[in-house]
Amino acid sequence: MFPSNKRQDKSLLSVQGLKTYFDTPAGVVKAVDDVSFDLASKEILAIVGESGSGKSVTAQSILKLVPRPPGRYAGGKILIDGVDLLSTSEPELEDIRGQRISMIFQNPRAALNPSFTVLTQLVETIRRHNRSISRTEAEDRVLEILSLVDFPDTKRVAASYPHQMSGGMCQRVGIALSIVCEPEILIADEPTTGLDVLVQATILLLLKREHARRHLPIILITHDLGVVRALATRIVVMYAGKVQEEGSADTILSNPQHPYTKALIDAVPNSDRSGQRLSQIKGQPPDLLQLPTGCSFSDRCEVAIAMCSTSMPDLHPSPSGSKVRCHLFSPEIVYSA
Amino acid sequence: MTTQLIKVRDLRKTFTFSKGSIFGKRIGRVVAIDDVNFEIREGEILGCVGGSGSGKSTLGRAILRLIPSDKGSVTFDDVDLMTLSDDDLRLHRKEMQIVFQDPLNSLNPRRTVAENIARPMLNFGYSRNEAEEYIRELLERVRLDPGHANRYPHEFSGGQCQRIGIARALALRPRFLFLDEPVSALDVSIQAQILNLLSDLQEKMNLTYLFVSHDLNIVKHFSHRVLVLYHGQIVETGKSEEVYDNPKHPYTKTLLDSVLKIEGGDAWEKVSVRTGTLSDNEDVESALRAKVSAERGCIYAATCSERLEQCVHEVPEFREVGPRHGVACHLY
Repeated sequence: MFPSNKRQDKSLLSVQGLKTYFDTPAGVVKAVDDVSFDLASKEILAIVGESGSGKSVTAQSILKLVPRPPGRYAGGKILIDGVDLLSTSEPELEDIRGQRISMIFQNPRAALNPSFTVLTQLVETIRRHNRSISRTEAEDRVLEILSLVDFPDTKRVAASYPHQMSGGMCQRVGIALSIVCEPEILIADEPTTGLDVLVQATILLLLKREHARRHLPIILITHDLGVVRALATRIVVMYAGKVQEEGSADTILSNPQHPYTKALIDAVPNSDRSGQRLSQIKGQPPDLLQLPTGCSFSDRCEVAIAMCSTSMPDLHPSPSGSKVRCHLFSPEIVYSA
Repeated sequence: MTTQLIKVRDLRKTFTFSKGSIFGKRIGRVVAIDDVNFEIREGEILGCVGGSGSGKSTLGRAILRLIPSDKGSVTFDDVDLMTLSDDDLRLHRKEMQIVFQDPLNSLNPRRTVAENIARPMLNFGYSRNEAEEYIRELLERVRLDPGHANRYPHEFSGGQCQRIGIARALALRPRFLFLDEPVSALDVSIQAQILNLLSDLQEKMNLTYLFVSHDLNIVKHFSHRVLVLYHGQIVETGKSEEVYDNPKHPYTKTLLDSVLKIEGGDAWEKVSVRTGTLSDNEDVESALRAKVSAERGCIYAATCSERLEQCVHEVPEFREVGPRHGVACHLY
């Protein structure tokens, strides 16, 4: 293993200190609070977390899709080729969305327009980003892209409306829509949640193939560690709006360092531990309006020490090579322990 | 020898589709449960797995007679539920309860936790005082703070709402619970809490469960025995470890291969090819499917990668392939 901080590939997308807040009657919800990560070319980066972790809001922030109000970007930068997307104007963003960065959504049916055929929606997407292409050329391209997501009868699918298709088929059209403009980056937000296990295998295989075909970098948002293992090369673990652990997929899944990551992996039923009690994480998911002072996980952490409930830890390098937001890895603690 | 609490015989449920308004023409029929036979022993956790549309939720609902069945019988403690009058059924329903998938929507948002849990007890003639006392005990049993009894469901997280749902299901001291995807809507860290709670309650109160889930890891972990359902038919049944470690039916094998494991493995990548979801012979397959259904062959024949000649026109018998391990497949 290489030391993790040394990255050979240049980063395509850099999220720096992103803060996405929501103003609610009950107070400010810091859904994403000072999140930084880089996406290198050719990698599949999984952002993993449970509800309220801020993983989806992070994904939406990258394309500036967070509804404002109540949301607002309270700080940070999202850099692509040195340009900050957060300060880019809406018309310019429209050229970037779909063309340079595209997204696959969780609910495939809702992501499609119910009143247009698959063909119309795909042609519209192609011609929105390339006005010089003729209609017939665009239609040929649509059939090509539909066969790429493995529809045997592309003409029939092209003529279908979303309600005539199953959830799995809708998600395949969703993938077609997201890759039709050959984007530089793909964001997949819970692409298989709610789909049948067999359909899930198909969708993941399509993503994996598309990644292999032209080294498409993917940001994969998911709560499912099995999906992470199947696709991801690197992982960012989020909890309560903050990055808790970051490192290579192999390292984190086989040798997690943060107490939260460890507990999360242990809580998944596993064939080796069948019949035994599941190890559970005590307490409730974080309430972003009433986070504990200090580390957000301190009230549920089994190994918390006194300072965990008073000060927020920084991201520290750990022996496994991952970076961990935990006082137990702070250089000062090593001496007193 | 333990007693069989529930016996299901030749249970069948079909749904018809109509076009137009309620007076419209019937245009189609789907067999959701297709002549299913099985037993659940007292104190047993029976898991039920299958893909979406396999009929797993319908099966549980039909057993509780929450939906009417077309034919067949379900005996609970030697009483045939299907022939009971509505009043008699009501009395028997005390012993069978259900925990729903969506924890928040299955509670009444306008009633406090205590009122939600008290409802079934008041329906069955408990006094308010009796109910109140028992609610405290129930809340402690599901590890919620009894001091929160007067709060409303929206003040709780999904996992806590599911605990309230479980407390309500236990209020009438049932013997049987139908758990319909009870943890699917919950976060991983909360799933484990609820599953541990359910297995503690099962042991302490000697409950019998029918546990439906699409998550094969969870079903294996949680149940003693498992039914594998495909298009409303039981294709395989047996002890959990036996079915998971030594699956016989091609569909069971495919389902198990599609499970994504944290430890890794690439069995899932071959699933799509085998089931034909990523192939170019969809038309061939649908023609085959039509032939199979016309000649009444095995329901899985059209998709099966291990198909034999007889599968197309002969329904496989359910055979024992090991101790309490049965499979409906011509290969055995």
